[in-house]
Order: sequence, then structure tokens, then C-alpha cells
Amino acid sequence: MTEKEVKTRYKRAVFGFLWIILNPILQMLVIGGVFSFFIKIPNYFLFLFIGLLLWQFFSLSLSKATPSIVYERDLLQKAKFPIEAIPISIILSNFLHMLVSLVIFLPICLFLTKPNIFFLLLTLPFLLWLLALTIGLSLLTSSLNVRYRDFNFFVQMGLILLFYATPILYSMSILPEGLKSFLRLNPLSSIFETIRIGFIGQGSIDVKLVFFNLIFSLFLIILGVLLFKKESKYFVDYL
Amino acid sequence: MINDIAVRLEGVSKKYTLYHEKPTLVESILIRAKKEEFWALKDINLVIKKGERVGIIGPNGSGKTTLLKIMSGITTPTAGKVETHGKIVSLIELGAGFNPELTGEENIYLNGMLIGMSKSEIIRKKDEIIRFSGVGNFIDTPFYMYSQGMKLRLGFSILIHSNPDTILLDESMSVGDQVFQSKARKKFLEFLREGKTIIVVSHDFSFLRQYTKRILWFDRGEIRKEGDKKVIDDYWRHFH
Repeated sequence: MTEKEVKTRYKRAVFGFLWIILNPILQMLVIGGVFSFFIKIPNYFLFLFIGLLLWQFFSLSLSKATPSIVYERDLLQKAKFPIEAIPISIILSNFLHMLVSLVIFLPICLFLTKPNIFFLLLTLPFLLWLLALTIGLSLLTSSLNVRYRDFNFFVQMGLILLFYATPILYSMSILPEGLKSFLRLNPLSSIFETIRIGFIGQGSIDVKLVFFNLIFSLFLIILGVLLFKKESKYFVDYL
Repeated sequence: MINDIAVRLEGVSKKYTLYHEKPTLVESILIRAKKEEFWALKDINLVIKKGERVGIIGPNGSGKTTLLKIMSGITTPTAGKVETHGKIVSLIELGAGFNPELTGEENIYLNGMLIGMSKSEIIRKKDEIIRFSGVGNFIDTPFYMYSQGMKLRLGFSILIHSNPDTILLDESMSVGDQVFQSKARKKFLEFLREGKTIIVVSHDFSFLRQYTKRILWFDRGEIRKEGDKKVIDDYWRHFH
């Protein structure tokens, strides 16, 4: 059994897709309309849109995957199968949606700004990094949610806070030094910054930050995988 | 010879921790929620050979269903070793593993994959599965349109077409109407003829007498008595 097959059930592509692209556009217009008075970043609307698109993938995946194992308790009670397919299939289908949105969006970026081809290619490993981090975190949160049913509330709360602690509305470079070193802890920082540089070609990559984030991400991913492996054997007893 | 063994359990125990309320993180940090331990199975040693027909009897809560769940790999024992050979299919939770939004046919793929059939195997057997289940025209309508009986029939049909070596039954030979039941029984007899391993949990003694050869009497998580059909008589006498 492959993940792809369980995925068919989540594939209501046409309907879901419209929503996926419409939501960041609307958010971009509203947030951009307000914040462009405070934050002076060239091409601010494009800048926002990339961040919002990535954020939508991350937050939607995490908030849907966290309770997914509890929702699919029927499947778990039916037969033995790789349980990780449930959260991963949700994330993969969201990832696909995001990729399509980015590809649609690319010509607009090329037209309005001057992306550097090298940085544009560099976004690919960073997108994979985002995918791996999202999967790792979801494995962590979804197995904790089986044990503790209120864990999903913590995730929802965490996501709201994380939205502001991630360089979506702003870039790391406009922050004062003290705040910046605090936000370095967020592994999403360099992912968002670098992918945005790739698409709109403005800003510079902070190699030290990338390195630091990468190590922290690896730690989270490994923690998620190990916990899921250990816990998944006993999921059924809690459902 | 290792190859003539279908299921081997070695010192298998299963502990359930009973929380008296829904488990939450806040509670487990703040007030160390009350816990109680319950051993559903205690140190079970059991070898079932290929082709054996085993009946399991015992009062409710004696660990019969937990045993089937452990054999099918749905849950993991707290202690001990489980060894299985060949494909095991359990006819429990027949109506589970379907998505109400997908059509019957799409659900055959989903459900079939879930119980470990390959895609090509499903394509090959799809028509036969549909015919056996008798859902007819409903096969391309969404699953929420199905009646309860149709869901169970389709679930049953998929499972028995997945070419199992060992079949775990939990009181579920009584699916569907008379017509379907006689079809199911015919298929069951066919499995018997093919020498498949069959493990049945049941309170239907006449069924057990007719189709099983070895009886295990479970009581509070332990095997109380084991033997041929005479165990059924002992069990009967014990409660009357």
C-alpha cells in the first residue's frame, strides 16, 4: 500500500484549489493595504504573497494533520497498515497545491521583478526542507494528539503566535538586533526568507541563520519520527 | 518445521490503562489523572498450525477480541512475541475503512489497499467483488447512499477476495440477508476445503461444533481449558 492511494480520498482537487489560491490573495490585499503604510519594502504585495502561500501550506497541513489520526480511528481499527500514510497524505496533497500556486505565480514575479536564476533554483531544496519539517512536526503533533486530545488546541494557539514570529509580514533584515536573535530560533525563518529571495530577487541570504535553522529542523524531524515510531504501535489502544 | 505454523504467541500479555476521563495534556500535568491497569491477556502461549480450525469461547471481557486484534497486528502486545506466517485477514469492523464521499468502486480500491491488496490484484478481482456483494447499480454512487447492509456486504466481499491464508472471525458470519448469508457460508466452506486456517470467536456453539476442531476457553485473559469439542460441553455445564 502506498501513500498515494490513501491520498485519493483527499483529492477533491478542483474545489480545494480555488480556495487555496483565493485565500492568500485576499489576505495579501487586506494585510498589504494596511501594512504597506508601516513597512517600506519594495514590491510589498508580492513579498507578502509568497510568505502567505508558504504559511498557508504550513499551517493548514499542521492543523489538519494533527487531529487526523483520531479522525481516522475507523481505519486503524480495521487493519494493519502504515499509519504515517494518514498525516503524510494530507501534507503531500497540500504541498502539491502550493507547488501549483507557485508555478502559476512565477511568470508574474518574472515580469515584475528580476529574480536571480541561481536563487530561484535554490528554492527547490528549501521547499523540500519545508516539506520535511512539516511532515516531521506533524508526526510529532499527531501522535501527541492521540495521547492528549487537547494537544490540538496548543497547536492552534502555537500557529497563531508563530505567524507573527515568522518573517511573513516583514523580513529579518528590518528587525532590530535583539528581536532578530530571538526569532532565529524559528526554523521557518530562513526557509521563508530564502524562498522569497528566490522569487522576487531582493534581500540576501544569511548563511549562519540557514545553518542554525537546519540543525534545529533536523532535530525536530528526528524527534517527530522517533516519537511516532514508538507511539504508533499503541495508537489503537487510545482510539 | 517453521512453515506449518500460522500463528505463534509466546508469553503474550496485553495491558490496557484505563483513564476514567478523556486524556488531556493539561490534566496529566496538573493532576496526575487517575489510572487503573487492566490486563486483557495474561501470558498467553499458543501455537496455531496452518489449516487448523480453532474456536474461541469465553464470557464477555475475557480477552477474545483482544487476542484477534493482536493476531491481526492491529494492536501490539505489551509483552511477549507474536509470529505470523501468511496473510491474515480479520472479519471484524466490516463497515470500517470506507470513505462516505467516494463511490463504491473507489472505496473498493481504498479498502483493498488498506488490507494489503495490490492495485493490480484489485483491478483483477473488482468485478467478482462487486458481483459477490450484490450491491449492483449502487457501485458508482457515493458511499453515503449505501444502506448499512450494503456497506457490510461490500466490506465482507472485499475481505474474502483478498486471498487470505488465515481468517479471523468475530461473530460476523451473519452479514446481510438470507441470500447473502448462504453465499457467505458457501464461500466459507470453500475456504475450509482449501485448508485455510480459521480462527473463530463465537457464542454460536452449533456453528463451532460443526466447523471447528480445536476449542480454546478464555477466562479473564487466560486460557482456562483447551481441547476438542468436549470443551464446549464443559463450558456449557460451567454456566448452567
